[in-house]
This record gives sequence, C-alpha cells and structure tokens, in this order.
Amino acid sequence: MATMTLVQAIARTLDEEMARDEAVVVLGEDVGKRGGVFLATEGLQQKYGPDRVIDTPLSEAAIIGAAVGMAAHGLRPVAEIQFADYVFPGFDQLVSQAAKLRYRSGAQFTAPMVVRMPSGGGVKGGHHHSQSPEAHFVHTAGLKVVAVSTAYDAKGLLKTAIRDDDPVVFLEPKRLYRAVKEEVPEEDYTLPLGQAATRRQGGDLTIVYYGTVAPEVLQAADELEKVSVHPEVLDLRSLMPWDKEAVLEAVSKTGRVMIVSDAPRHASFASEVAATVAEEVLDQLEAPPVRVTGFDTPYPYAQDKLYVPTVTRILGAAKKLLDY
Amino acid sequence: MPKEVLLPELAESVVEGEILKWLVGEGDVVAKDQPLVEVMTDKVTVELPSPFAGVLVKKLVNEGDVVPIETPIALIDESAEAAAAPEAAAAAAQAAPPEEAEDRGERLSLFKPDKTEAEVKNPFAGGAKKPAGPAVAERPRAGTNKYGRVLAVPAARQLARELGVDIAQVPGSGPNGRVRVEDVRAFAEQQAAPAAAAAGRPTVPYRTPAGYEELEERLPLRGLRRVIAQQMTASHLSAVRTLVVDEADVTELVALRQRLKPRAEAAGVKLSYLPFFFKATLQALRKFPMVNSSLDEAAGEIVYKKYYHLGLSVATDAGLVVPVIRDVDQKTVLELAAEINDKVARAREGKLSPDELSGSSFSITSVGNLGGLFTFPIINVPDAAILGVHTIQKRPVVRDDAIVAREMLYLSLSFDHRLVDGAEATLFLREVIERIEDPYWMLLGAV
Repeated sequence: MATMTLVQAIARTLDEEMARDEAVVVLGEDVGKRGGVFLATEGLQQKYGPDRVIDTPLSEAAIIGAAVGMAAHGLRPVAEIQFADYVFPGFDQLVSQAAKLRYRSGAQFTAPMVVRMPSGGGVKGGHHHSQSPEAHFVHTAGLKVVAVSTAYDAKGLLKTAIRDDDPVVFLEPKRLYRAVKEEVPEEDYTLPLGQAATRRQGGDLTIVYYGTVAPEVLQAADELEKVSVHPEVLDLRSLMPWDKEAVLEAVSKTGRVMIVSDAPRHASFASEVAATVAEEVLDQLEAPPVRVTGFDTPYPYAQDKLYVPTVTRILGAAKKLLDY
Repeated sequence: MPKEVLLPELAESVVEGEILKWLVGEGDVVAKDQPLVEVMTDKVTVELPSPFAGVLVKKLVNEGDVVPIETPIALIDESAEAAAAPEAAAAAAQAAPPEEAEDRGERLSLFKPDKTEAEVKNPFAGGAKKPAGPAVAERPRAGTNKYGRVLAVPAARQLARELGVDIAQVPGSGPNGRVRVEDVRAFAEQQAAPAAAAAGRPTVPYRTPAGYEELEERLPLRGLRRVIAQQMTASHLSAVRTLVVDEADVTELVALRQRLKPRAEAAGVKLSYLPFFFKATLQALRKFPMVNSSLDEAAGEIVYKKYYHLGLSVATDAGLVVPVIRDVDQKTVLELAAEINDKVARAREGKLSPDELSGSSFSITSVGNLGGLFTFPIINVPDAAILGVHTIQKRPVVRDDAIVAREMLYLSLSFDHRLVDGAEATLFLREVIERIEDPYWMLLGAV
C-alpha cells in the first residue's frame, strides 16, 4: 500500500499501463515535456519517449481525431484534454467518429481509447476552467463515461477504461486532485464500470453523487448523523453505464432520494437519475426526488463558492425530503 | 557575503511602501522569484519576488514599517553552502518514494481549490428529528387539491392499496394535509383495534328520503345513548352470539313466593321472582365455570372467575343500564331481594355510581312485565353469557297424558360460542330450570 493523492494515482496508473502494454500511448497538450498542467503525466515522456508520450498542438479536434485513428489501428491511446471545458472543438470527433466507429463499421473497427479530462468547479477557474460537461457525453450513445472521486477508484477504473475496447470519457475532479491522500494498493486491480460504491449505510434517505461534490456530501452525511438522521450514500463512480439497480434498491429502502452534482441542473445526469427513480419505483417514494446541482448559468467566477453544492444546500435538501 | 534586497519602485510615482507580511523566515532557503514579502502601496498590494536564490539571513524591516523605495529590507546569502541546499533537496526527493516526494503540482497550477471552510448552516440544528411523524393530524380527512384530488405521497397510496384503506379517509399530517406513510399505517391500526371498532368501523351512510327533510328531527348522539351504542356494537362485533331457549314449570315457585311474600314484607322487603332466579343461576354457574368466564383477547387467555357478580338489565327512561349485584354466593334470598330493589330504584333515578355499573361476570335480563314471548339478549361483554327471563303465565301443558294448566316461563340463554359450546349452554340452562322448578330443593343448598 502507498498513500497518494488522486492525481498521483492517475500518474501511477498511466505508468503501470504503459509498462504493461506497449499499445498504450498518451497524447495531449503539454503532457510530455511539462508532464501536464496538473502533472498527471509527469515523467512519462522521459521514461517512454516522445513516440509514446506525445505533445500535441493546441487542437482538441486533432487530439481526439488522432486518438480515434490510433485506436482503430491497434493502439490504446489515452488522450488528455487539458480542461474538460476545452473539449468542444474535439466534440465532433468524439461524437461523430469515436462513438460511432463500432456501429458504422459493423464492429470491424472499435475505438479502444480513453479521453481524460479534468472536470468541475471549485478552483476559482471561471467560465472556461470549471465546467462539468458529463451530460453531453452520457447523452451520446457509444461513449462510456466515468466520474471518479477517490484515488482508489481512479486507479481501478482508469485501468478498466484503458483495457475497454470502446471509447471511455474519463472525468477527473480537478478540485480533488490533491485534496486528500488515501491508501492505494500497489498491485494491479481493476474496478468494473457501472458499479456504485456505498459510502454510508442508513435507512432515512438516499444521497446519490459523483465526482467533485464528494467532500460536501460526506460532510453533510456526518452532520445528518449528528442529528440521528441516517443517510444511505452512494458514489456512482460511473455514469454510463450507471448502477441503476443500486440506486433503485437504496431508494426502495429509504423512500427518499437526492442527487448531488456540480453540473448545471437542466437536462443533467442528476435529472436522469431522478426521472428513472420516479419511473421505476414511484410506489416507494415518500417525497419527490430532489436534485442538488450547479445553476443554469455559465459558471460564475465571482460565485465560485456557491456554485458547487455546499454542505448547507445538501442539508437543506435533506430537510425538505424528510419534512415532505 | 550576503546581498541586500532593496525595496524596488513598485509602480510609477510610488515612493514608499508598507511592509504587510513576511512570507519567509530568517534561515529559510529561498528560490529566485519566490515571493518574499507582501508590500502595500497607496495603489496596490504586491508580493515581492526574491531577486536571487540563497538563504535569507536577516530581515531588516518589520511588518508595519513604512519604508522608502531603494531601502534595504533583507539580506540573502548566495554562498555555496546555501546554494547546495536545493540540490540536496532534489537528491532527497529522488531517494524518497514517489508518493512522498514534494508535489510540485500544487504550486504550479494556476487553478487551486479554495480551501477556506464554507460556513455550514444545519437546518436540523435544535434537535429536529427525522420524519415528523403522524403525531396529531390536524384534519379529519386527507388534504385535497382544488379539484378534490387527494394529496398523498406515492408510497402512502401504495400502502393504502395494500391495506385496503380509502386514502381520502386518512387524516394527513404533512403540509396541507398531505397523507404520509405513517398516517396510513396509523389509520389502518386504528381501524383494526377492537377497542376503537365502534369509532373506526365503516359507517352506514344515512340519506333522508327526498321531500321528508322537514319531518325529521336531529339530536346529537350523546351521553348514555352513545355509551349504549358503543357497548352494543362492541358486543355485536366481538362475541359469537348464540341462543338456546327452554321453558320451566314454575308452579311451585309461584306458590312459594306467594307464601313468603308476607314474611318478606314484614322485614320491609318486596319479594319478586328475581332473587330466586339469581340463586338458581348461581348454583348452575358453579357447575359450569365456563359460563362465568371471559376472554382476554389481548393476552390470549380465558379468565375463569371464582366470584359471582350478576348484572341485571334495567330499562330506564334514559335507556338501558345494568347494575351489578356483587358476591351473589354470599347473600340470602332476602338480602338479594332488598339489594335488587334498591339498585333498580336508584337506576331509574340515575343515582348509581360507576362502580355499581361495572364488573359483572354474568347477567340476567328480565323483560317479563313488558310482554314478548322470548328475546335474544345482547351479551354484556366481556361476560360469556346472559339469561333472559320472561313472563310467567298459565299455559296448557301435558302432565300424565292429561292437559293441565301450569305456571309456565320461557328462558333464553344468549352465550358467546367462542367460550361456551351449545351442549354446555343447554345443560347449564337445564340446571337453572331444575332449580326453579323445585325451589325447595334449591333452597336446601342456598346461603
């Protein structure tokens, strides 16, 4: 066991996978010489050379497009988009090429690639360095989407993503890159996509979350325990596929549910969870599903502290659920 | 030789600056361009970068000092010893396991997490608890929207369907009378509870025939009438009421009573047939203890009573009351006669105390003076049975193959079949009849 931050777990995992499989290559802006702006690829170019760790021009369309080509021809590229906010010039390559390749070619070709991107707010990054764009990707059939919140999950799920034969969008909460250190096993392990992690067990209400909001959710859960309210807390970890069974089971147990994320509310993944709950276990509900999310505005630089759901907002939602 | 760090010209036309805060301490290794100190001018606050690498030997100004530009503010030693420090640090970093190496990313990144603690306002503060619970619902029925649709959470609707509860009847404890799960559960339990059977059972709707509204008078169901209604409903819903009827030839009893009347009168007591029926019943109850029992449903036990408290149904102007004659086995016929007369008189005046109206183990109802061939009495629950005695009148009966006129009496025993079987009830009634048909024999064993 070693103690490490989330970003160190990413760097370690990339190193391990590149050592394990020559087909694994890394490409992106500043990923080579500089080691990435968050140092998620630090030291890889020295170790594996510029042919496998490629500094690209400032063109996300080129990064993702090249990755699709590499993937179709037998490599397993791991592309880094410097900030998730920058993905949109490459969005067409992701949606029109990566997501479609298996279907368009009748499975003659697949795109075994990972697109890593630091996501989410809470770092005083303003409009262009704080967004959580997961809804675009989960809405695109053909893409798998992962949204981790811990170092342990980052290692296990990044390995699974790299070894998957289809394109995986891998969202990393930049605010949590260095927030906490935790024990991460040295050995090679993988975690399955589509399996939620139960962070707390309780019978009074269910809190479903993923990614950036993890510290607020867990702190709110502790606050609730102090007043003898016992939440069941689920970290989804993976959004496509997502662990519908675990969520419906937890909601059936508690009758009340909130979904917490820092993405804008409108047509969000939180909305998808809420709609599924309403559609499939309506009879179990003792209150409407509540979404605790970001706001339907461009990410506001001046209100950085308010945009990401706060502990107070989560507790307010809990009160609403219990008093309904 | 340490070099001086001078306060530079921080901006155009700025001549002095206030030393706000030192960012490094004396003895610290500083890198070139590492922020040394915060300085405030009348225009801005800036972090002053170190002009060279080395060890900060001495601070020459203190926080709060206002100093002119070009003033020396610190001494930095660039000597070999100090310069070696970063190399040593680099070597140490290489030797250490990667996860413990200094994480440069924290410093390098433009975008850093805001680590200031956000204030937490806990709406549960003050000991507020989870689901407020049904407590006391303020409305008698479920809340509705403006179209009359019931306000209820889905889980409450589902539970109501499962329990066969009409959700509209459930008092809602949520905001606006919204029905919650706890409300449905409480309502169903209330309906099921035997004690609340009268209050919670489905009611029979009443409709006035059209055009007859003026010919009806409505009075609230109150007082004794309401108690009777509840007690009768409880009896009807709980006991499995069964009837056995028989007849007795009481010619001998009529003669005996006629003969004893003057003596009782001399003692100041009006002698009726009731004390004789009481004694006969007492003796039969002793032979059939089941008839003097009760069912404790909550405990799941049958209660056999070794005391004999006989209730007597009395019709009064206010309604039916049942005074109880206690310890019938310890009283003489004359004592019973006196007590019965007293309690009947006070019942009609409404002067009985509550404890004189409760605690019976068996009851007798006498409707002889009003007419009727025989009745099917309602059991005074939780008693197991009640004996109805009727009019004594001469009827033609067959004795020794000849039709003769005898003083005859119908007796009806209404019993709870859960406790008493039919054969037992019939034999019990025969025991009573044998005694009132041969009262001399009965008196042989009387107290």
